[in-house]
Parts: sequence; structure tokens; C-alpha cells
Amino acid sequence: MLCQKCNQRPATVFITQTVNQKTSQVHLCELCAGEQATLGGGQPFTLTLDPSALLKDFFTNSFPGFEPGPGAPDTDPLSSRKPAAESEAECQVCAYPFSQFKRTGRLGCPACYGSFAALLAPVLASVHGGGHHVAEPTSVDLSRPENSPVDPHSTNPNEDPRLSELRRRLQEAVAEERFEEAVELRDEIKNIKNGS
Amino acid sequence: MLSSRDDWFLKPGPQWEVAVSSRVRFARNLDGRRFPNHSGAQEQREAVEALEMAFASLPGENLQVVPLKEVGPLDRQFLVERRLISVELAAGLGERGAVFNPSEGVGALLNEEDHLRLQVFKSGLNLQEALRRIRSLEEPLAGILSFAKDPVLGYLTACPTNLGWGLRASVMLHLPALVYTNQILKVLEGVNQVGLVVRGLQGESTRVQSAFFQVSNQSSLGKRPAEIVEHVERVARQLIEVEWQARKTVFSQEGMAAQDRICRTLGVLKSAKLMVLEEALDSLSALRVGVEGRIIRDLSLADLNRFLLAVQPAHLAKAAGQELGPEDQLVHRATYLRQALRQTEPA
Repeated sequence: MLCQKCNQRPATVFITQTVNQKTSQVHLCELCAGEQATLGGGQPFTLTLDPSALLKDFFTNSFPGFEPGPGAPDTDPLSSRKPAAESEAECQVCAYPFSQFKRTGRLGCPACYGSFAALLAPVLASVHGGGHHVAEPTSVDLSRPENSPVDPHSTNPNEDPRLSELRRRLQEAVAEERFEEAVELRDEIKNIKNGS
Repeated sequence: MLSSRDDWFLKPGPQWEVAVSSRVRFARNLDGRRFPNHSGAQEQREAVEALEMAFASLPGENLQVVPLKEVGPLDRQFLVERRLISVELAAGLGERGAVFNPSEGVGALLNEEDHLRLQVFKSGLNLQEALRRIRSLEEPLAGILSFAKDPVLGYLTACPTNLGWGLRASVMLHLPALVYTNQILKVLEGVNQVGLVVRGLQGESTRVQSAFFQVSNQSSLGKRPAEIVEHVERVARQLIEVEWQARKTVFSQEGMAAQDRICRTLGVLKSAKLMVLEEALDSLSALRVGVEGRIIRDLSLADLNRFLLAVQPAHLAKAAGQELGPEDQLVHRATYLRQALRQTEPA
């Protein structure tokens, strides 16, 4: 079933609403439901009265040097390039067309957020109410034994030291993208686990 | 992969008479790579391998890797019914993977909408514990791999609705009395008004099945994980409270008539020769109330949680050891329920 609001994306969320004392149900896709949820009235919704201010923050904090979209203040007085029309807009890194986002609700790569910043700003504002990410330090100090996964079904706290060492080396290999070595280590781990 | 006594959904959880289960999910993508839907086969395979190896390197974890390409349609459907993989992942072409510990209810989907979808299930209302457990997996993975992230938008996901912490916290609630007393729409509207959304049993919106509702947050940008989880839990507690009140009302006002309805449902399940899935789920939903209200004896919530899975198509086929046509399913389902309930009687 297609979303009853945009008629493009599949409906996965069921919303109940009362208008003029009449209750009805609608079936929405994730994006339209996100907008609905934020505008529902309960959550604090900070309406950005000056959309260009939002775009300006976006550009200077996250993507320095990016071209401003329509309506944004000109951060580079020397720039005279006009932004691409929405229907032709493509990601500068992966060439994903914005038109495909409108059809599927999905982007092509992390850099799409920068390439389509201006086009996405209204979507982000309505879905997330202008919220910014709240970072946190790691919540759990995993070096402390009481914070290790403790469910007996999931873990073996008395793991074979050979396995622990191999896992440590595998972590390093993956982090440093030494994938051939990583594959060998992974297979060695598997053999030991299957043998025990 | 058939159920074991250790399965997480067979163990009691807080308020599990009404809050069947809790689920927390994180969405993450590998930095510097295209999202799965825009990646070629080689790029997809590299992403899956990097993730599988990162999981293999986690100390003390007991996770199985499932190479989805080698898993047949029946087994995939089985995993969908277990909510271990999504319908999209099961149906999808391309390089996809799954890693899980089925009895603990911990798992990850690889190359679904995002490179990594981590999820943890807990029995009952237990989002806090689910969040703690999922972070014990996500944080070491973040140390090994590099997740795409932005200071303003948080973790970058294929769909902008998942920005921020990429966190979805949901609770599966069983609200038959609210449905029966026609209060459910008003209640769900209240849920929408506080920024939460409602889905059905399998995560779809089109069919709210048998009084089972999944309530979850929508956005996870602008709040901390603990705040998001706390918000969903608070609303779930209110819904549970309202459901208990409605059950009390129904039983006190209708008394014997309500008991009669439940016992007749039991009677049908103990005798029927053919059973469609919808009727099975509706009936099991009624039996859940019967067990909690002590109207039925020799049946437990754990049994019912097991039955809710066992009556699903792929579970029936696996138990039978073969694929089942639509008519055979009706027979097998009815047979299963007759056998399973043969000791169960009205109290």
C-alpha cells in the first residue's frame, strides 16, 4: 500500500487523528509519518523562522565551502554559480540524483547530505523539528568486567586466551583495512570455535 | 534454528502480560562508502565482509553469521517470522548478511537499508536493558570500523528519518480490552500526539493484527538515547495501565459473558480441523487474556508466545520438514493447536 500523503513511497506507519471531532486513520511512509509525529503538538517543535539561518549553520559547521542553495545568504561573495534545479540535482560524490530520493525516500551516500543540503533542509526541519545531534561519550566502560556482556547465553567470560588474542588481532586488521589478513584470522577463529 | 527452551521470548519480562516485548535498534553506515541501495555488488560484498569480521572480533560474543545468499526462501521466511531479519532483507537481491544469537534476541542485519542494523529484543517492558546491551555491541564496533557521522546530523543514514542516534525503541503491546471497548483509536491518537508512532505485528501499517501494537519513537535527532528510551517507556507504561483498567471494566461489567467468550475460543482451537492464520492469532490473543485473568488453566504466557510463532507459515513448514501448500497449512496449523492445547481447560 502506498503512503496516503505523498502517494510515492510504501506505507509502514499507522496514524490516528481527529479533525473536527471525526477520527480517521491514515497510512503513511516513514518520511511523512516523521513530519506528522513532529507536528503532532506534544514534542517541542522549534519552527525555524529564518530558514536561511538554518542553512547557514549547516554549511559553516558541517560542510565548509559548500555552495549555498536558494534563499541562503551568499557566504562566498565571489561565487556566482546558480544552484542546480531540483530535478537535475546530483550528489557531487556519488552522482545519486535527488529525484530518486523523492521517489524512494533514500539517499545514495553520506555526502548526499552535503550535496543536497538546501533541498533537504525543509525535510529535516519538519521531520526532526530542527533538532541537532546530541553527542555522548561512550556510555559503558567496557574495560570494567561488570560492564561486559553478562548474559550467559551470549558470551563466554572464560574464553580461551588464544581466541582472545586472535580476536584482538582481527580487530586491528579490520580497523586498518588489512582485509586479507583479517579473513585468515577470522577463519582461524572459526576453526577453533568449531573444534571446541 | 528451531526454538529452544532458552529463547528470550519464553522468559518472563517486566509487565509481560501486556508488554510482550521490547526492541531497540541502531542504524549505522560505514564511512566513505555508498549506502547499500546505491552500491554495486563488489562494494556491497566488501561492506558485509568488513562487518562480519568486526563482529567475529568482538570478545566473548556468541554470534552466528548467516550467509543469506545460501539460505533458501523457506528459511528466510522463518527468520522473518522470528523478526530476526526484515521482510526487505529476506526479499532483497545483492550481497546481504545477518549475524545473530537467536536465543538471546540479539542480531544485526547487514546491507539492508543501511550497512548495519543492530537490534536487541527483551521480553516484557525492558528498553533500558535492551539499550545497555545494544551499546555493549555498538561501541566496540564503532572503535573498529568508522561509522559515517556528522556533528549536526549525527549518524548518517540512507533515510533522513533515522538521523541522529539512528535509534528506534519500540514496545509490542497487547491491548485487547482497549480494542474491545472501542477506546483504542482515541488511545492511539494520544500516542501520535506525543510524537510516537504505531505499527502492527510485523511492522506494517495496513493490518493491526489481533490487538498487538508496536509503539515506537520516530525521530532520534536532538535527544540522547536514554531520553528517547525513557519517553517510549513512559508512554508504554501509561498504555499498560489503561489496558489493565479496561480489562477490569470488561470483566466486572460482563463477568461471565467475557469468560464464556474466551472459553468458547479455547473450545474451537481444541477441535477445529482447519485454521487460518488470522483466526489463530485472534484466538491466541483472546487466550492471552484468559491466562492472565486465570480463566484458563494449564497454559502459560511462555506457551502462548511459542504458539504465536509456531502457527506462522514457515514455522509450520519447518516442523513438517517440507514446504506446505495453502490448504496443508490450514490442516497443520489446526493440528498443531489441537495438540498444543490438549491439556488446557477452562479454570
